[in-house]
Amino acid sequence: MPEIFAMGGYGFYVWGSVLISIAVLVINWITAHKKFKSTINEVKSFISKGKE
Amino acid sequence: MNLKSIYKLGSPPLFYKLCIVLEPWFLISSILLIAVGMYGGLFVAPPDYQMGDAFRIIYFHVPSAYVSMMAYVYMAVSAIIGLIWRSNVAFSLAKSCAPIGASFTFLALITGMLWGKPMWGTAWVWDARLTSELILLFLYLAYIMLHLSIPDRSKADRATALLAIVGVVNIPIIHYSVVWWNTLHQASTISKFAKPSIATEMLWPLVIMILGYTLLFAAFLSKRTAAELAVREKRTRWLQTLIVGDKNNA
Repeated sequence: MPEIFAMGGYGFYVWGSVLISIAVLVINWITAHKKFKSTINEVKSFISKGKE
Repeated sequence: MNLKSIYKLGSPPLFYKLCIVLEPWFLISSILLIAVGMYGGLFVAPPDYQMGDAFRIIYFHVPSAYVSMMAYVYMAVSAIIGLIWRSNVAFSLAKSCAPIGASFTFLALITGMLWGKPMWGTAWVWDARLTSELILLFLYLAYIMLHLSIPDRSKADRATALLAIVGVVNIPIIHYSVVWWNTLHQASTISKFAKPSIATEMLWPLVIMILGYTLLFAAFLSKRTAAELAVREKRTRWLQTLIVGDKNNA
């Protein structure tokens, strides 16, 4: 198991790349999802304002 | 696919529904592919005889660099279509490509630096490949800022479309930089026209990771384009019907 983390002495660089990649991709999905949700809410409030 | 069905894709209701339906499939398949590719790249592929285990960074660096360039080409093509046909769908696609492309470019640069530090002894050099990839990040950021700075949406669409079209000249420069100039960055590992320069057991996880990243880009793009289309089409009956239901619009 420690060999997996050590990656032949390049553990920091290899696992650093893995963690940064996962973090950026997850943040990307969260921001896209949040943008979609907030847009739908914006459209809903626009529709309800139009009805008043 | 005939010309008529391509024209149909320019219809906002159809494209919006397509984005909503396809997004979860793109997301699930990309997560599965990336999981398999990561396992193959980190644990199954043998270490490189020169770079040792540090070469495994390739499984994160190459797919993000590939998507960073692909996203820009999509953005430029959508911008051209938007300018010619004044299509809301095309402008929404172009605008949605920018933040996603910027994030993949950022990833390509960071993972490249993490590779460069142990292999070259430096995280950054101003060589042609690295500099042109950094310019790509600036192009994405310029597109985003230009769009934000123009309040009139149609003017912003046209101005940013011109920027996207002019900037596309950077894509062949990035791709051929390692051929045209003497760079510290190595030549392409996989080429369309030549035999791959890595062993099969190292190659398959890379191909799977590239596919996974491409599908993930498609998932992000579907979600963002659907959101952008919803903003632009909020006054239309089809969107209001979709969002709040038939009875409220009767």
